[in-house]
Amino acid sequence: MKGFYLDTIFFFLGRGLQYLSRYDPVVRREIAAWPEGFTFSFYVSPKGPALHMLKENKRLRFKGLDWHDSDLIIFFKHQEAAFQVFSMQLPFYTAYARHLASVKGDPGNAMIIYRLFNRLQTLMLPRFIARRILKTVSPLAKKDWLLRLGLYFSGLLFG
Amino acid sequence: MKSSLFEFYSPLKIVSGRGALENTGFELEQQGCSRPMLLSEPGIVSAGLVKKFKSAFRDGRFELAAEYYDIPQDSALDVVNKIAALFREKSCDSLIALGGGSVIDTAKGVNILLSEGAEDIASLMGAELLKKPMKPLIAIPTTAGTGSEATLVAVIADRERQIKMPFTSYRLIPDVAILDPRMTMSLPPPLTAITGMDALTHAIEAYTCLQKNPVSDAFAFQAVKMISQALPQIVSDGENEVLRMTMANAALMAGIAFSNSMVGIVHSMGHATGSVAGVPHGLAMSILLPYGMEYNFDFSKEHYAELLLPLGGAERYAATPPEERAGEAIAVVYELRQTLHNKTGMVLNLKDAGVAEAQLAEIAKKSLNDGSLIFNPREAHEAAILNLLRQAW
Repeated sequence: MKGFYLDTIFFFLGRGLQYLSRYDPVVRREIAAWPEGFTFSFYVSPKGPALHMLKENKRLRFKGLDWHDSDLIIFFKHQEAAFQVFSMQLPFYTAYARHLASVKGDPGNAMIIYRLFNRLQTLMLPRFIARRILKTVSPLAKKDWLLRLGLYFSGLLFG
Repeated sequence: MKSSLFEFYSPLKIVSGRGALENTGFELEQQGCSRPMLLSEPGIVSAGLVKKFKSAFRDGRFELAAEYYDIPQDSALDVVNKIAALFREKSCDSLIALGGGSVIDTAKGVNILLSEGAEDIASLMGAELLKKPMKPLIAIPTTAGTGSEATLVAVIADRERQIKMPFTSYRLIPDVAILDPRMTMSLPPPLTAITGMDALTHAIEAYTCLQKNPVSDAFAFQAVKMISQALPQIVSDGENEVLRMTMANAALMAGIAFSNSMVGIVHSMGHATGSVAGVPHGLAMSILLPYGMEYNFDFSKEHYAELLLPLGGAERYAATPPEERAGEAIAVVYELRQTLHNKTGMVLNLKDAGVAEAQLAEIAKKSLNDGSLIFNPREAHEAAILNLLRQAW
């Protein structure tokens, strides 16, 4: 059941990031530092699931839920750890501090991914949930509300 | 209420005090080794410390199988490759790192290459990726600051690709740390001051950042106490062996603390300041520490209040109303910096440290991508960091 949940949430997160990389200047600015072809993944040890993303044509593309080696991988030690994070029970930074997640690759890129997901979660989640898992939740500007609507009605499903 | 999960790991054997150096041969024997390679750097050689070590090391057990003394200020990949080749050529079986952070980090880098056998160690960059047992490593620090003799971190620069590669793994913690006053006695006051402030920053950030835990707290708290008492005295009494050992032990304990709890925004800004403007790490820590504490004030108030006791002493703690203790702890840090400035000339702002105002924006940008920032209790955006840097400038 938890595996199915993670598959589903990874799908929405992947599509959501893909959408934001087209329309959100904050996300576009963040990923500008990466070269074309840069890949990153979330991977739940020992057997998945995974979330695989690729930078292509200055945007992010959701490449699916299969495991691929990537330039940067954020590993979760086990399914329970990933479930707690992606069911919004445990902030990612807390999971990382508790050694429930670790990084393969340049930690500088991991920090960019951390901010990308913070941005996605700020736009995606109601404030009272976001406050539980983010250190700070910035108030949404007018443009951000449009992005949120875009995410809800198109981005999370179609990217 | 659920309890918090934490990990703590410190398999380090500590041999500390006058005469510790003479134990090196015995400790190698305990590790099952007989062909050690000694690593150091030119400054340590010219200060006569390698000579002192060698005379203490010669106890008839065995000789050094190889020696390498050309380690640069920043641990660099080309040097790591060269040392690993020499290690194999001379059939060495262990490493002795005699020096500061760069020498010990270089030894850790050599160990990664030797143990993992990777063609490109960049592929092992990250956290908890090293799986194979390392060669025995004995660390003999010659400064009391970095704590590298006790930590799981190594940073190796790839000069060709112009990147700094951080490695974090429990396997990187040295097997033995040998702290001998003869190795730090000749450290000049300015260097003693900034390396001591580096250790204090490790301890304070370890006590206040998100990965803190009850065991690392014990090391951090005691380290803060020892540094606060010894550092203002030692800069004008460098020959005092007891104070030297207090600082050496405290730096090691702060290293154990932050190896298990990590550090925060002060280190994020400090690493970036070093990378952009070439400011030595300890000096950057000395300058930035109180500003980082002020930034985190509302999020770490309770912990700062507790730290007033080891920072300011029992009398000051008792005389300060509970609600003012956190602020008072930061005031003590400012006072300590001022004392060190008065006694050693240690600079107190980024401008005097050689940072140009135009570099602040780049430093802020780089700080954002430093891995330490995730452990900071308060989120920090580019504008907030730039603001802090301006204050420290």
